[in-house]
Amino acid sequence: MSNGGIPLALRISGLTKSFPGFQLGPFDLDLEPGRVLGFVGPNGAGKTTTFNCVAGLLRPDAGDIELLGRPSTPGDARWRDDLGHVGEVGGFYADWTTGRNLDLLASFHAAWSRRRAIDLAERFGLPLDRKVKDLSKGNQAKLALVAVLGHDPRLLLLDEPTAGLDPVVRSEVLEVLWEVLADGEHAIFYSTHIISDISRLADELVFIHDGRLLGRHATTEMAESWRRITFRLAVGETRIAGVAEHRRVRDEHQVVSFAQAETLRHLGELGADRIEHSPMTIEEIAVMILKGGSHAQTA
Amino acid sequence: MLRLLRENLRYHWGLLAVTVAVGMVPAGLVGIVLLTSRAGPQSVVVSLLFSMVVASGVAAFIVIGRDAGEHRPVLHLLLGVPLRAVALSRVLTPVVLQLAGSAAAMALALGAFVVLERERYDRLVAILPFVAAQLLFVGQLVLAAQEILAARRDRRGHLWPAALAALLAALAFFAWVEVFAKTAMGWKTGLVLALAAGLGLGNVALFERRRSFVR
Amino acid sequence: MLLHLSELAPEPLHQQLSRQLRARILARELLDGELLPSIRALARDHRVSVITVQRAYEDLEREGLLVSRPGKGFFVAPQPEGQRRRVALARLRDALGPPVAAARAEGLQPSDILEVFTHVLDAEGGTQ
Repeated sequence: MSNGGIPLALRISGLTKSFPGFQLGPFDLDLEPGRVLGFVGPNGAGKTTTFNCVAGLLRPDAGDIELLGRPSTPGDARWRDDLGHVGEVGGFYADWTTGRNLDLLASFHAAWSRRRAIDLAERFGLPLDRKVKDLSKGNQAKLALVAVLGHDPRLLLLDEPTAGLDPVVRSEVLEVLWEVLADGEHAIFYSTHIISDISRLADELVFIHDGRLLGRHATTEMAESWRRITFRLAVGETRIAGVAEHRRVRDEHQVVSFAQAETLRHLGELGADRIEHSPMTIEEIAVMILKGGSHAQTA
Repeated sequence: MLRLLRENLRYHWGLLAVTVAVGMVPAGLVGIVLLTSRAGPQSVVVSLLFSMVVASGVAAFIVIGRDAGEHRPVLHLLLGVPLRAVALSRVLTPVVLQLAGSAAAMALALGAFVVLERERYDRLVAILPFVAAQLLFVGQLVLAAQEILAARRDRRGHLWPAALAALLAALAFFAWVEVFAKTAMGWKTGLVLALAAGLGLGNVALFERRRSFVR
Repeated sequence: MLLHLSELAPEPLHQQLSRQLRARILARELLDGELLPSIRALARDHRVSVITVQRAYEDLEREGLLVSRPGKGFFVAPQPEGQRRRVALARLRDALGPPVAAARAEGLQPSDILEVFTHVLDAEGGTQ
């Protein structure tokens, strides 16, 4: 439970799932209501597997999943109305129109709002009168989003929801997500390769590589601690404190620091000069963290 | 579960109609050829009714493939429908569809006494249900094969060989009923229906025990 | 309140936010005891994460510029008269440190630096 007895939107404990040649977890993960958690990792790292386990589409080998304070298993659909999942496939009726499929969803979700669904379809540019099998990949992605947003679930699991969408629609999707978050009761777990999509939206990013979590960082902390620093220093092989990457041409150095205060202090002690530092985008930092993770695995 | 089943049937019934209509064509052609012979009109009726039943069975097979190809369980599970309901609607959709077509054929067969001579009529009315039962059994066989493949993909090392063995046993029993059993058609029909029902229950149980609903 | 927050700026978003809020507080555009927008509202209006706004508010609270009342929100902390001046002086000192050091490293004399400073003061003072 989180503060004040308000249940966590999502609690994962000891999640484990094995496939030939790959193991996910075991790991724990919490998500508080009102928060956005970004899930970042290379293809095959285990993001989709994690989402499928949480959505009840995959039975984990071990571990517990709690949605909004209630235990969730594939066999138990009682609370699934409060969950929205966008994944690789939607299972929609291909020979029916978009509108017909959405009507079906309306009849099964008590909290569905037709007005909201039509409004969203219009904003995203999703045609309601076209058969699902005739939809482009982009429109299929839009359908999945409208399907999930129509009943206003309190936990959104979005697995690459904007893949295949042009920048204008992507921006509209993000707008809608900002609106969803406005009341503080919705939580979003969002995996994407387009880190710039969530760099402003996400409160924290959790990194995964080869089935293991590499770390969880608040975006504020990331933006504060990471810097590119160049300096001049004429010494031999020295390890600079807090440095993830180090390039050197004679006396001129270029480092990527993950702890800029520590690095700058160390540079001060070493007597480096011509120190210049510049910030890094969340995306650049994310890439560094992932690269560091993969190095750690191969080392 | 019923709501889910109803929506599924709404989606697929068009396929049933088309398949039956298409199935009538060869039957109609056969009928035209036979029309000239003495038993012409009767053979046409028998052949059309048979093709209705068979087409319903074929439609059921196509429906199974269609739902699997469109990843239906993913949609159904995320509707907040209990797992058992999803499993049941998956098994019952082809069954109900096929029964609808076969029941229509049976109703017509029962009324065919106006065209058929007594002996032919009796034989027809006895054998049509048997054909329908056999197709129901084969339909459940297809679903069972899907479940066994899914269990194998899920790497459930003890489950899928046991299920396969049960399947083969059912198949063997079915073959015996077909070829060797020297009982009345009614008993044969009943036995095959029981086999189909048994397979159906097995399919529901296996689906509920799946580890992955995503493929 | 409309602030300017950009991912392209050299400082992290939460620092841009706290800098702009601090400026408004010290310049008395935000009055003592005034209630600031809720964290969630500000985050949504400026399309930044809740944690960004929360961090900015918490940083300012730690500096003594904001005070939080649970269940009510963040208010501008009443600033004793000398406090504003002290904070502003400290910030000016911190801001001037690096450029002055750089100027000295480039060979300028204290008298040169004071001359430049007077010029700048006149230019800015003209706009007051």
